[in-house]
Amino acid sequence: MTAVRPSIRLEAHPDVVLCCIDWNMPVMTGFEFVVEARKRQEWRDITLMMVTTEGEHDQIVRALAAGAHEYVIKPFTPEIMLDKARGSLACWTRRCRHERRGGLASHGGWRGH
Amino acid sequence: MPSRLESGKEYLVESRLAPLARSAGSADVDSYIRGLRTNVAHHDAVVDALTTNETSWFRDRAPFTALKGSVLPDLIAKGRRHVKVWSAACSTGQEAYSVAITVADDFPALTLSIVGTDLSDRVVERARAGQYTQLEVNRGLPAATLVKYFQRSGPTFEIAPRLRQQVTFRKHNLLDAPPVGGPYDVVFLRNVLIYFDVATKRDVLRRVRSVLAPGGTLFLGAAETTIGIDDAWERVEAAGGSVYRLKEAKAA
Amino acid sequence: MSAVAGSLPTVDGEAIEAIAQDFFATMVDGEHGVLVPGYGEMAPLVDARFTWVDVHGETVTRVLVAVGRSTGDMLTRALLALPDDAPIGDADFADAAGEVVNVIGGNIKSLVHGGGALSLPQVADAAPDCGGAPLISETWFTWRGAPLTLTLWNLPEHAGSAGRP
Repeated sequence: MTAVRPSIRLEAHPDVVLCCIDWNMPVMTGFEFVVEARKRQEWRDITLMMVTTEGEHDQIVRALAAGAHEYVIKPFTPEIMLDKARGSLACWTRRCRHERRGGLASHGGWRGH
Repeated sequence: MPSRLESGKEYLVESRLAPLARSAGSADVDSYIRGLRTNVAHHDAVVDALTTNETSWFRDRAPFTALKGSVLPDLIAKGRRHVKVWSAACSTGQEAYSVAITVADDFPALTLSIVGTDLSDRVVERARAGQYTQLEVNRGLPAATLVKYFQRSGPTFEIAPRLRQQVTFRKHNLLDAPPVGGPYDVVFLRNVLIYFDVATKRDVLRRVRSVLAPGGTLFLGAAETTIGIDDAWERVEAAGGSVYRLKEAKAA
Repeated sequence: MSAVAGSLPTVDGEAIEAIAQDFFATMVDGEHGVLVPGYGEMAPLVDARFTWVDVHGETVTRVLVAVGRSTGDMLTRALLALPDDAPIGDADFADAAGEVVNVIGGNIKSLVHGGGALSLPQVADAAPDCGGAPLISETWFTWRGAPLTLTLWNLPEHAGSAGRP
């Protein structure tokens, strides 16, 4: 992943509805990714959820202001993830009105593959 | 809250009690347990160590939807400017503070006093402190709400003082007389009756009746009911959820 | 060069324990009480592996986890939800070990004065060169009966792996 912009990975998956983003990643930070993703009209409907060990008040505020829908601080349990994902996808569904199906994608984390 | 250990998890008892055994100066967990029979002072600590006080913000969601969509608007329509709430068996306070957040978000003109009670001293102290770990604020609390009503303080998140000052926490046993400060417009008594036998359930519900304001609302856990236990109550639909109110004849 | 002991930053040892235990309870074991603070004599780490992150604050704090390789393999299976007999390659091991220290280190950041950027995790077969930096906290645990250590080091300024804003 180190050589690949996250944006390119997303483009290969037009069915993605939820993107989980770590703050700490090689190449670009999760925050930078959110800022970039929010500039793209065609990704307007993707729910962006920060999932990261970073949990400063200021970081959460910045991520939400940049357009992240939810923010999960690691560690988490499966229940927490499902609850947060459902909550933010429900917002998304309300916004979109029309039914759409798609997969869940996890973007990166700090791991390079 | 009582907990039943599945078989195969006996080692958990050992590992959870080991720190207590150590701090009490016992040679090992077995001798610590033998000592418990005579040393009542340690019982609270053992209950705390063996139970998982896991709770969440806006737990089950539906009660808070009902509170926001029906119960509070009804009280305001009746001209109420101040509302009293009892959060019974409140654990570490998330339910009580969730009520305070709901009112602050959607009914800012309403003033509020909440009494939160629990059997455990340690839990009451934690609720009073209003400080939650990272893990605890992950459970059910939307990030936007977290940054609006909490401040980070080292490893914990601290509830805003203006919300904390609306809530009083105290130790209380549901089998004793209800806490002073009523009558209460709203009582939360969720996921606790399930642990009692029918006679005790009836007894607890009768005590709740005695401090419920006329027209007041009782929230029970999703798996709980007054039906077949105390006929003074009736189940009412409220904004998609179920609440309990005293029947008119008895309330009058 | 080592700093004067009195000038070393202090961190709350109980809070560090709680951070590690919360991580294991949620993302590794699914329950509390499996990772427990050790006491008495620590058994030596067998075929030790090291993983660390640097927290850049007023000074640089290195958060270092050490574990025996076979315990690390068990940890990898638990974290990545792999079958009990799954062979663990170095990539999976690095993934899991890095995740452990990323989460624990990120959480510890809140305990470190002026905690700012967090470096990406490093994984190695040998302890990293801390340049003679003083140890500011040392905790050891047992996890499924095997030892695991968590240490914090106060690195000289401008040392450590680069963090990100």
